[in-house]
Amino acid sequence: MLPGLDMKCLADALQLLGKLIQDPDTVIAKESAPVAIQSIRGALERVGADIDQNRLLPGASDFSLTLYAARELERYVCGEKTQIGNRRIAEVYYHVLRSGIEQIPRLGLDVR
Amino acid sequence: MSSFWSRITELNLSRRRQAVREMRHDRIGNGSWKRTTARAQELDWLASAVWEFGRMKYEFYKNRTTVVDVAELSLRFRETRQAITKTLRLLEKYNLAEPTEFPQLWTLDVADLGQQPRDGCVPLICGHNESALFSV
Repeated sequence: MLPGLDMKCLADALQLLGKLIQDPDTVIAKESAPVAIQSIRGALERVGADIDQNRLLPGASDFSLTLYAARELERYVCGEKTQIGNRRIAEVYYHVLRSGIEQIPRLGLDVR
Repeated sequence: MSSFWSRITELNLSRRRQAVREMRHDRIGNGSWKRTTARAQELDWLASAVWEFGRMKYEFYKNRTTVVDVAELSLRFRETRQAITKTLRLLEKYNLAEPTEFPQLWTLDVADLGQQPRDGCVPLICGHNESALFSV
């Protein structure tokens, strides 16, 4: 059970993050992106904890990479030191994050 | 005489221009010109993305050898397995990727670049798209 994990909210936050990466000058995205990526990272950490508890879930080994992408993107968006050196690399991390989130419903977790 | 030759040249030029126009019309008309350029750019982006994905795995797992799976790359970048394999073959040409004994698994040569600055540009792939540069 993952109370509070709303896939719709995750998708919205992901979309906002994507907008910021594609167009860093977007004012709304710039203001909201740190909150969006923090909520994504928080949600993914809860999913990760749930995966650890239920070791038999498929795709669990890939999920750690998705979580890593979220953490690095959070640093990138917040202007901290990160492995993401430029927008092109940020796009790649974003793809990894997005594909990982898309896989969540298939993990067999209880999500809205 | 000079005006005659200039008229002939002009005629030739206009014929050439017409031929180019027709060729462009044919290619753009059926979309092949546009498609070829777009696909080459996509392949460039994909090669860069696959290599960067390898870098990401290297940074995360810190293994000396970075192995990537065609199926996973296909999922991550929403591309067909054929496109991913083609991309890996392209990287192989530049000694950046190597097939393993397992058909879906490739090793990427990303580890030795770990100490290089990541903001620089290194020209890696030329030929199919002259402007292709990898950001490292």
